[in-house]
Parts: sequence; C-alpha cells; structure tokens
Amino acid sequence: MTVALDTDIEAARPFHDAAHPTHPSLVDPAHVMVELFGMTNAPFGIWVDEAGVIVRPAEVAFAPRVPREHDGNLDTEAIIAALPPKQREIVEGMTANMRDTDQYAAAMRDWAAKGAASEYSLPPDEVIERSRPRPIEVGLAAAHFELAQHLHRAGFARDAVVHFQEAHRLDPTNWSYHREALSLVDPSWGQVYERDMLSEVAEVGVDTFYPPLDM
Amino acid sequence: MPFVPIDHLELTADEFHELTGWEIKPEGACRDDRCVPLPDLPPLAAGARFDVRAVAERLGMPIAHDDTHGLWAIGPESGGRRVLDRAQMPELVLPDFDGGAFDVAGLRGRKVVLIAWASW
Repeated sequence: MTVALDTDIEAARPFHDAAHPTHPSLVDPAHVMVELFGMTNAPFGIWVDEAGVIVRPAEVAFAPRVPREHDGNLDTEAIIAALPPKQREIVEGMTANMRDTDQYAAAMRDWAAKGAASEYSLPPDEVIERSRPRPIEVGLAAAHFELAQHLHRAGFARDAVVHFQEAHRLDPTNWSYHREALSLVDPSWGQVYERDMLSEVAEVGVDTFYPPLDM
Repeated sequence: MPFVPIDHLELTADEFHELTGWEIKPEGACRDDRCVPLPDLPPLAAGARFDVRAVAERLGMPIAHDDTHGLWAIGPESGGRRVLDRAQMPELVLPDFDGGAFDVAGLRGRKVVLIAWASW
C-alpha cells in the first residue's frame, strides 16, 4: 500500500491518478505516520506481517529505477552534474544512499517469499530498537507541526510559518517537516528558513536526508 | 487519534481519551496494558474537567502553544523512548483519494508493505 504524506491531498492527486494504483492508495494529510513510525522523509517504508506485527521499522524505501525513457523522469544525474561544485557535493552526499535502488525491493521480495525465515525480517525487540528515538524536543516539534498544519488548513497560512520553523528547529533531521513546509509556504512571503535547502542539509548532515539502509 | 489542536486546556476524561488515546481511570492514565499513576490528579466526577498540562507532562507529552489563535497541540509521548514501544501495528485509519476511510487493520492476514511518498 502507498500513502502520500501531503497536507494538501490535491497536491498528491495527479501522481495517484497517473499511477492507476491497484493497491490501497491513501493520504496522510496530518502526517500521522511521521509520529507513529518516525518517517523523516519520503520515500520511507515499513513491513507488517500477517499477524499485524511490524517486522521492519521506518527506513528509506526507494523503488528500483525505471529507465528514463520509460517513465519520463528528469535526468537527475545530468542536473546534478551541472550544479556548481559546492552544491553538487551536497546533493551527491544527500543522495548517496539512493544509488542502489534495487536493494530495498530485493529484500522485500525475499521477505514475501520466506516470511519470518527471511534474513530481513526483524524480531520485535530489534524493530523497536531500530525505530527512531523520540526525545522531548522531537515530540514538541510534532506538536508545533500539528499547529502549523491546522493553521494552514484554517486559512492562516502566514501564521503557520512560525510553527513550521519551530518544528524544524526542534527536529532538524526530520526532512518531512522541512520539505512539506517549503511546499506550502508562499515564496513571496520571504524565506521560510534561515538558509536555503542545500545549505541546511549540509549544516544538519547530508546523511540525515536519506539515512543509510541497514539491511 | 484526531491530531487536532485544542482551544482550551481544561478537558474531560472523554475528550482527553479521544485526543490522546489515554483513558483516565482511578489507577491513573491507561492505554493498552499500561497505566501511569497520576498522584496529583484528584478523583474526577463524570464529565468533570481537569488541567491537561499536568497529565500531559506526567505522560511525557509536550504541548505547543499558539498565542495569536489561542490554540494548543499535544505532542506524542516523548523523552527517553523510541517512536515504537511495541512492534504491533498501531491503529491506522487514513483517507483514500475518493474521500473514503481505509482501516489498515483490514489487511490483517496478508503481508503489508507500507510505502510513504509525497508530492514535495
């Protein structure tokens, strides 16, 4: 199943419509899954077995790349190569863990075939241990993000900005907050964050953007 | 859980339950098989209100405030813990693109891979 982490369902709809999904295709406008599972960016995935037990906690979950001529995607490698050296270095660091996009799908197929006998299926203690730590700051960030989303939806988009900022300040490695805020705030109001996205990622840590898979 | 901010801090036990999933019982705040004693909370009559701040603090749930609109949002249990405190899939009901509500528990009996994506 797939779930769009989009405050605005209409922003996700064109992608849903184009994909013609035959699986359950849902939306999480309140970012409930960020709180429940610790999804700090997209795409992230979890696995749940037949008994409703999570056997892999939230982790980066890229689908295998389709050749560009088949999916009409942008030529991201060419775009990255054309960036100024400093920016290129940051983007390469951010995306280092998405180069092997076959790894996650291969593990998933192994689990689909072997179930609990798959080496990728984790016992409950390890699932909990591998899930994201939640210190008080992270919980408070979630509360500020909730306020921001509520205000945005209620028509007070400018008043939401301070809470988007506070959510990112308190939980800087949660890029789902940061990226959603950038998509919702009108650029004409000025910069949402002190630094541009790439500078912010460089400051916080490039490997926090797509944390490495531990398969 | 509804993830809706509140405009007052005095809640009834029912409102607190709906908002956070925690039930206020004589033995404390309880959810699933866990109860946290609330020694500072006097016994509540039916429908009585209590200040949510003391209970939220006891449960490690931080509260964010918006002065301009007089709103509060209660964050998840935090501090010295992880996002998952059990491997059992929590209740998760989400909207589909046609406005329906989909309960993920309905997939019980099948392996589920849940992939989060976003337009941003």
